[in-house]
Amino acid sequence: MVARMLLAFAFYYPLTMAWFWIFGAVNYYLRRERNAPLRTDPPKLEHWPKATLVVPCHNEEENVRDTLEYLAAQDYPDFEIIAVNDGSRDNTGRILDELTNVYPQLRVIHFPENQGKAMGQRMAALAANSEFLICIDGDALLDRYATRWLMSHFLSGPRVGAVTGNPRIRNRSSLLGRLQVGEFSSIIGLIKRAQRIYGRVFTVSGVIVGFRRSALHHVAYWNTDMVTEDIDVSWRLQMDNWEIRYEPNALCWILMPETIRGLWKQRLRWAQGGVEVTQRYLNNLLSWRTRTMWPVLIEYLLSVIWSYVMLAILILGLLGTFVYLPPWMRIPGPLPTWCGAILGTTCIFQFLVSVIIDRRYEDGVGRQFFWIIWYPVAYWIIGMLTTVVAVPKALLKRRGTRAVWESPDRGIR
Amino acid sequence: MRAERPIISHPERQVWTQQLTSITLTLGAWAMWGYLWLPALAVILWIFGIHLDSIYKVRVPDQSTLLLMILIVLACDAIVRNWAGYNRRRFAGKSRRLGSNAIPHPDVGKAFGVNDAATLSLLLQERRLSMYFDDAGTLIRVVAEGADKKEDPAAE
Repeated sequence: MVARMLLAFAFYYPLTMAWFWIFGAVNYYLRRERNAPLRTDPPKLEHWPKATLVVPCHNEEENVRDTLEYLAAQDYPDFEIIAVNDGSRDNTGRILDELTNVYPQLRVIHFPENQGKAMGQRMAALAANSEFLICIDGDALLDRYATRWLMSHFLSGPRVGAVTGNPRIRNRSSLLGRLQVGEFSSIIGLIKRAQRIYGRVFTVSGVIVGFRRSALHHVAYWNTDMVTEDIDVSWRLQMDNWEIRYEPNALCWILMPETIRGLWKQRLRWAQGGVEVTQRYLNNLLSWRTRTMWPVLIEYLLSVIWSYVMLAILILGLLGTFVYLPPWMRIPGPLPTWCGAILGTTCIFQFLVSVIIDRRYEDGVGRQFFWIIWYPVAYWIIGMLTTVVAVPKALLKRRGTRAVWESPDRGIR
Repeated sequence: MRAERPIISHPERQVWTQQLTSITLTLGAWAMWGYLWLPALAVILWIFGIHLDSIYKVRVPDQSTLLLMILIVLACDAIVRNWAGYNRRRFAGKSRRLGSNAIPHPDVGKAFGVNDAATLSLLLQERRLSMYFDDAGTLIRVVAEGADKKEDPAAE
């Protein structure tokens, strides 16, 4: 009985979520994307308020020239760039200083010691000459039209507090790189669209997001003690009734880990971030006033429960092969049932839907089809393992511990 | 028009064992995916008179399970469709809450503990700045970098 219940939840939860995401994304696509202008034809704005492009950098000497070249080429008439050199131990600071002679829009803030991404963004918000902050990472390349697409939302909605863009993976040399291409396209893109349909998003993508500074001011800007400042600020903005939108035309090319160790560290950080915000804001979220966040909260809590259910199934399955277990605890052997076939078909269908939607933004995603078989592994299995580890890690973390940079793995170059 | 793609793809920079492992593992994963279809294969073979009972018992789909799955898919569609329609009718084109005016820079400064006008001016105008913090992460000093360094007059 117990084993059957565990198996039923383990099967029905991902199946249900997959179909929610598929229908949500299709609904979003039909309403907002299918007949929308192309990426290279962004909306004509009635006026052009100044924008501040914010780039926190820590040990980015290999990337920062490209990053700034892309930023300086934005198709937007009035912007400044604030690069924050956050205690880099390489030549990032010197390169940034040199680049102030090349790009007149560039301003540079140096931190003698590593203070973390959240602090970099806080200080950029303090030094910004504008109400709108477009934040990207120091190794990311912002598409030429992205700023205009993001700004169009701020000008069309006075309660739009943030707009998250569409991260696209650059490094695709290895198996890990390719499976993340499929994952970002099939899972993250679909989830963002689906969450826009039910009104609240779990998180903005910290690597490409625009903020209204007055909205940030109302929620006291970014917290410096959360490992994922983007999840944290997303929840606080939405709890304060600011709207967060998704703009798939705002492309940003990013580097992702291509080693198991790098991927594990990144995903563990993401998982820990989810637990930290839930732990910190759960009481606030249970009030009627923040009910619009409940779908996101329920979805997240179910994903945590699912992770532990999967762990229990694995443990019972392993135990059952070596020792006698009573029938109610026994997990069936590996012979597949129809449930497996249906789940497998759902996965492939989900990828096909994402390829059709993504054709607008990037061709050739379908070429990843051979490798896409791994994306359920990348999302569900890594998600399960990192959540199982992250929950105790987050609960045992001392509150107030500052989150600072660790140079990530950026793949094969 | 689709994006110009600054893609980095150098599979040749992996050693051949890595490449072979990637392909082998992925083929293995597809084989696993195909294995999920064993019940369907067993039924098809059974129709043609080939019985796999000795190696695999044909499992007739449990009708209640299949019905439940179909209901889940239909329910997902109905919930998404109706919720989106409800939100569109209720919120589209209407602003139920007021926006916020841009916050004056002195108020932004206050949020970060910067109160004096000279420092605020430095922050807005200088192109190269250094910022110093105490152990708690409080901003304690702002220095303008460059030919003639200007220091935050309120510096400790």
